[in-house]
Amino acid sequence: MKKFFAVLLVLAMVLSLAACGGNNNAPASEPSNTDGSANDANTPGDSNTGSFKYGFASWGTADEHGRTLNAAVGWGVDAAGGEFIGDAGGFTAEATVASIENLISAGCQMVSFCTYAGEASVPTISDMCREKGVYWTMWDTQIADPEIAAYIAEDPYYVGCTFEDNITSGYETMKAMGEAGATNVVIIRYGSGIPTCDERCNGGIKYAEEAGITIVDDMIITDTAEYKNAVANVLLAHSEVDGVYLAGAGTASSSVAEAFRSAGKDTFYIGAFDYFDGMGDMLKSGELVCINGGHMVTGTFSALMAINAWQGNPLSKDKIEIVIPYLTLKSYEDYEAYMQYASQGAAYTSEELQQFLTVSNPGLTLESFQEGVSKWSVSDIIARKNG
Amino acid sequence: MGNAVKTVEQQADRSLKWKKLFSKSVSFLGLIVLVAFFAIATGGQLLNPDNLMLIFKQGFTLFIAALAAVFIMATGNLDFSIGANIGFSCAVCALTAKALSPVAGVAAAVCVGALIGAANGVIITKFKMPSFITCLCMMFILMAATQTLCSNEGGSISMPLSMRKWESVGMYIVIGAVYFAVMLVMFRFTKFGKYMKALGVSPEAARQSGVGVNKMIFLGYLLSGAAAGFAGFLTMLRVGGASQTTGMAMTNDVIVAIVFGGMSISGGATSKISAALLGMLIVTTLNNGMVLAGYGGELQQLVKGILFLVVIAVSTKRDPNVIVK
Amino acid sequence: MKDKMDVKAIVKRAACTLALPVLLYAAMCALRPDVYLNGSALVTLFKQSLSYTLVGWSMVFGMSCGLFDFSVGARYLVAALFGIHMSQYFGVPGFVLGVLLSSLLLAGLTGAIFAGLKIPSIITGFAALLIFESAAAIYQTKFSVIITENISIFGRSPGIYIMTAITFVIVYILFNRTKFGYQIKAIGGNEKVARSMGIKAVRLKVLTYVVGGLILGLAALCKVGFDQSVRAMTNMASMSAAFTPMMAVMIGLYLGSCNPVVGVIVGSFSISVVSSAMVAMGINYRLQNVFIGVFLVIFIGYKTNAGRIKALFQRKTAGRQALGV
Repeated sequence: MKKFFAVLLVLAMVLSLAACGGNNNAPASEPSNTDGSANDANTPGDSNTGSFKYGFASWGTADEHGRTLNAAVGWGVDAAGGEFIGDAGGFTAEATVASIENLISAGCQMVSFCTYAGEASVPTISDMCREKGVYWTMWDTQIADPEIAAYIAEDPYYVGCTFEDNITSGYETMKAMGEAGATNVVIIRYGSGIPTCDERCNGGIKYAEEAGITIVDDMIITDTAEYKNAVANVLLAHSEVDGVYLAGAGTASSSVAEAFRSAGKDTFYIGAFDYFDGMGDMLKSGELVCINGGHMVTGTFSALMAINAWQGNPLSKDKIEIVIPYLTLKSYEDYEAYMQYASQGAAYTSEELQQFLTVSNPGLTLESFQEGVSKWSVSDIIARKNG
Repeated sequence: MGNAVKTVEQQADRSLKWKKLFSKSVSFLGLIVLVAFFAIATGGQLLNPDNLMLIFKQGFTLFIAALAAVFIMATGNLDFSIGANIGFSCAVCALTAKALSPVAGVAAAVCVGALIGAANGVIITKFKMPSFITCLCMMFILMAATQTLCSNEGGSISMPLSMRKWESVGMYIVIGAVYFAVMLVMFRFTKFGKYMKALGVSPEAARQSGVGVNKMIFLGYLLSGAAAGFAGFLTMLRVGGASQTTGMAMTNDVIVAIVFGGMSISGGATSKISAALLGMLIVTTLNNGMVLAGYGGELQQLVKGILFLVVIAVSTKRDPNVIVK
Repeated sequence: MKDKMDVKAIVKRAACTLALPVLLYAAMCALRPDVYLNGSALVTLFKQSLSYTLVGWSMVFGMSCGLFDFSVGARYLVAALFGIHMSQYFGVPGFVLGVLLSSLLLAGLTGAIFAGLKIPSIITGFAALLIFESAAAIYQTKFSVIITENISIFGRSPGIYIMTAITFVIVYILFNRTKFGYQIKAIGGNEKVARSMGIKAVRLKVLTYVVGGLILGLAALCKVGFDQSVRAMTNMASMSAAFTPMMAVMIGLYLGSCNPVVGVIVGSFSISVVSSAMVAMGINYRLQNVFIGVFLVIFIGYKTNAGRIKALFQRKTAGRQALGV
């Protein structure tokens, strides 16, 4: 009982300290339109200048995609003169909500997140941002639930979303596998009910149906450590399998290849999404037919969209949807070109990214923004670098 | 000579008293140090009234689950299925709320959570299964069940939009105060609470004293399950629905919070219900403070793990006669 | 006569040991004769089970004296990542030394925490899991994880079979032919009696961590080449990597009819057959852990309550006899 009251007293002390001294230090509570450090007084359409904080919620930076994604957002924010604050909260919806809350509390004027943990938290985040006057975008996301889409369409602080054309890329990936010789393919999804994953598979299944490729099995495996055994078991049950379509978790490609080799098969075809270390060697050997990745710029352009809105130059009165192409690599030469021109932040210079901001490029429109984003292929990057 | 001996004895007594006081207060002191550290590191942002309210809201679900988990931990056991129970109950709540009514959703969440807790209790007491194996298996079953429910609804289950208005500061304060009062009374002033602590000291001695050991363990898991169900409802309210990964990190946070709060790992007579409140404040302040101070996600878990060990090292009593497994 | 009885006993024990995997495999042959009624399927399943067996052997020492360590998965991740990183500078010797030394160091650290803080092994494992998981996640951000052909030899034929044979010999001798092995079994049987006989229980328990770390290092050498992928995880996700080997060890320990070291092989193979069966029958892969968990609960539940079940049948039979039915 004594400890309980002591805790209450601590809380009271802390609250009174905060009441007396907190206001001077917390940028979020100071309305100001000159230094851009506050978000409470923002009304939609306000013009803000100067430095800003951009909050980015993701699952983590331990994997290649997470790492490059966070770095890519940093390119855009740096180019615009802001401060990048990332929070890798984890894979759960409550972690995403907590990340956004903490980022807003840290003084971010704009925040961005993805719905890898489900769309149910989107209205909650919308309410939060609306209350605090924080602009927000979504990356790698297109809302499927019409009720949620209608809800956020009413939110003046919601700028828009970026997403990949997963159906087309899925179609093209299966096509590459089919053209290389695959006839009996296993699809492995990294989760169920995840729109990105489902769209990739739907695209792949569409081509398979058209080309007469047999989908032998369609599995959901959330743990990449289990891919090898899963494929080995499939090969036991279905020895005719000669291809595996990985809807994500490209890092499991080497495990899948090992499963084929262990089963005594030298010829097999893997198509995958998400880059991984070692993909160059697999492309060279031909085990990996096609890999889609490089979509870390989904974070970059969602940031630039939000910054334009915050600076009072929204790209459109309506909610924006920007399609991000994948960087598809189908050969070792593609891989070498990617490493030389697009990896480690080489893809865009600050000046090139500033062309996606109205303050630096007054003639920027939504159409020219999308056109610029669409020039995201190895050949486009080489052309841009060579002037 | 006699006086000199008395003085040495008095000094030894005083020194022992200070050591005992320090050991008992380490969590409380830890909270003060943590708040002070992050207040400085974040330039005072931590102490912003909005941010303090945020800490309270973020930790509320953890507080609900941890308070009930204290009863199980007092017996020297752990419940690894808490997080999965919260996730599954959240999904059931959202589905029921949409299909029937919000109130039915809440009732469903609590009932389902209690049933899961009861199942754990029955398997552990009737079939004499080791508790951690039972809870681990239950965790995997519930995770698969949650994923199935959510994937059938397109990946996540949104709660009815009308329930958005349910969440308010008043709701948190009222529920929190009433719940804490009930749990405090149950743990400190009822036979149930005393028996749970007695089981943590020695199940055999408790049995010989007439305590229904199986009944108490069953009731402990039932209570923990029901609390997890309610926490599932609160999670749904806070997040806006249920997803396939809801609750996954909660088991981790509950155990860490209770230990940070100063509760002994092996339970027993020194177990304290306030550990849940203190621990919740420490964990959420840590999570919040690290983001405000600019430290990444993986680092949070590393810091939690190290602090976990430090707190245990400082606060655990080491009895050389007790066999530790 | 005595020889005949010995042979009979050996055959009976062998039959009891092999009953589980043989029955499971026979069931699969009946369901899918086109797949399982051939030698290559048996070889494939056996090879798949080796990674569970190797990790399981690293846990058998600790589990024999009642210790449960969930940090095995996280320690494997750190050791594997460190070994792969070292291989980029020093080739195969760098990989081997990197994996073995880091595994030993981490195991020793975990054992030291257990002994020094005198906390239950589950809690030690939990703390170590938090720390090592996040360490692995942070470490993985620092370099590219590329598993080259030369370090993969330990995970492919014949390397994996040679490594398994070597590890089996080491584990069998340590567990069955050394004072260390006898003493840990004595501790597992009754620690109080073992201590009173002069066995230094705490020191031995720390040694089980160290020996387990060495075996885990050998397992990691094979697993890296076998899996061809190492990916850091957080939020206790690495616990699932320890779950299957742990279950294999539990089956091995509970079997009773054979040496636990051999029992681990039986348990791993049984689990591999169950996994493969689910794929062959088109059961959702997400349910694998559910099936393994339920299978384990039933198996351990049966073994734990075998006496009670037998007594129940005896009572029923006696009752029927008394009634003249």
